[in-house]
Amino acid sequence: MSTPAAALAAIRDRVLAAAASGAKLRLRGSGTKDFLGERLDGQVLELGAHRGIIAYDPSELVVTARCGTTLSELEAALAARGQFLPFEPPAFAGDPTLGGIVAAGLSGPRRMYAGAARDFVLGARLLNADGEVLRFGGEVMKNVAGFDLARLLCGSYGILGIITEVSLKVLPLPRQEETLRLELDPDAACAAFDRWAGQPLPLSAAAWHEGRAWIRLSGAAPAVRAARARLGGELVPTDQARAWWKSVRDCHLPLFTQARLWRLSLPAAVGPLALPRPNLLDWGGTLRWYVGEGSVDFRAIAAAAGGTALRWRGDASAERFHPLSAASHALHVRLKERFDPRGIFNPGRLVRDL
Amino acid sequence: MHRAADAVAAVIRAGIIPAALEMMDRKATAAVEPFVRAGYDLDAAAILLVESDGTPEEVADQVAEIEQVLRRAGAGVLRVSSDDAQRALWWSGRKNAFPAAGRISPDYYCMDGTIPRRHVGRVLEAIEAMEARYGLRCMNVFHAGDGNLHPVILFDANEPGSWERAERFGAEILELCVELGGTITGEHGVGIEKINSMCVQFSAAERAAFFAVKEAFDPAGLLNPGKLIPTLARCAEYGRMRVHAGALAHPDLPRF
Repeated sequence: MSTPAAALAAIRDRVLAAAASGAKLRLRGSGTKDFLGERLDGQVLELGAHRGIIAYDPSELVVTARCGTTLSELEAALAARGQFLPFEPPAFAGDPTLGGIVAAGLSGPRRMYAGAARDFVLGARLLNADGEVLRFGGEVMKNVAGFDLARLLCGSYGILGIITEVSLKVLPLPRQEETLRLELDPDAACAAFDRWAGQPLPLSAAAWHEGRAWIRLSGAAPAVRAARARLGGELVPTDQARAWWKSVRDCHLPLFTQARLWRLSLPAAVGPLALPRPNLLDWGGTLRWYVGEGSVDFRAIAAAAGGTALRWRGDASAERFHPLSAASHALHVRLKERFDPRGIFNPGRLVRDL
Repeated sequence: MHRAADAVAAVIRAGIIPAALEMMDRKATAAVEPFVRAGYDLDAAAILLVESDGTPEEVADQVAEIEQVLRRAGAGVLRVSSDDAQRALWWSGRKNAFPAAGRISPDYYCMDGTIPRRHVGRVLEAIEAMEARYGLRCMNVFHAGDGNLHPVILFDANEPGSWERAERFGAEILELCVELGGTITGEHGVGIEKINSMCVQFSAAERAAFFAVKEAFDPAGLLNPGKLIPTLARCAEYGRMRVHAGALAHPDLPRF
């Protein structure tokens, strides 16, 4: 069993060797998101051995861990002290690592009501192309010293360097959690989600699938009780509710095996789109999943509504991520050039030409 | 003071996240009370202001729970506001702490460091020791729930060397925040004034990364040059100027 210092030294050696030889590195934790990205390129650099929780004090509401620490390990440590990761990172078909969770920056059903992965990243360490470890942000709730680079790393897909350590904000588990189910069509569900979002309700998730809206309430018992009485619908048994939200978070519904699947992320209260009915709504209607059909241009429709479309499955000739505007692409290029001038890290993973 | 800090941690540990959790030390309450008449207990070493929000049932539940935690943590006096007017009055004391500093001192210098909550007691003690060393008073008002300190250093700019001592005092507090895993600014940010303390919190390579981001967004360097990120030369200069554990060698000499 190697020590964390030895694991980190081995990673640094690989980076320095790549820098010297001109090799490219493909960063890999558990590989749960190998399917996601523009392309996979370079020699695989496994990061899973650099693992373990470094600091966790429940009264600080912060956990700091190495990049190879798995989601299940983090969740177990937090649950043992009555806390959790409110952004509900998706596990997909395995047990992702903390580094990958932050690099992809994806969030589950609670995202709309609790915040996204990025909002919970308090600090991170980055091993750069020169083999130096840089520390950004910290372990405190409030910190505005310097640029917020820990959050720049969130969603960077490893193209700026290796995230070696992360501090995440955590929260106490809700005292009470209940899920309600209502028969609704998708437009009515979206309208209801928008209306409820403006009211003092303890919502923590709102989804729709196959003719039914699923509403999760989380908070103090009296608030959950009052909201349940107000919203009506059928109370879903706890175990069934947990399994449902997990299958939405982890993309385990049968829908996710469809040959063609698009994921549209949209502004709040955007209303119905000029598309056939969605197959799944999440995030109170701001995340919409569609099975690809004919030549429907999901990109154009999402963009017209002020959102983006991610190609989840199929339609392989299209880019994976929503194309960047010219100005945003230029920023990506300049950041990449300055952080990774030799183009060592995850070439083409986030943007095809980077 | 330590017990007040521990009480804050106990509230969070109990799984309660109040809407606001603020702390004032005795120096702060003494400065504010004659001015605002909020009814603060002036015998207490520190007071906590804890706010709960939500539906009436939720608030009643949470307040009862917070009372229990604070009582166990050794709170001397516990009061729950009975109406909105009283709530506003208690908050007005906190909100007027800075103007109140202006009543008891010709000038004041407000800092904004953040530390992990567990170190609050330790930092407050260290500040007390610094007060003696720098010959200046410092009152403490802060967002205890976030570990965000606002030490208010009192000084008189007409007194030669007083401002320089206040500035050194402030910088030493911030250095301690960094040493304990915190930051030099929790919410007010860095422009010019705290720029030297950036040299303490960030390494040369980290500052280079900030410049890289700055260049990516502003390749021609048109926007606010010289702010936020200190140059290597500035940090080298600051490193030479810093004197550990005390004031400068010749505090009476003006420095530029």
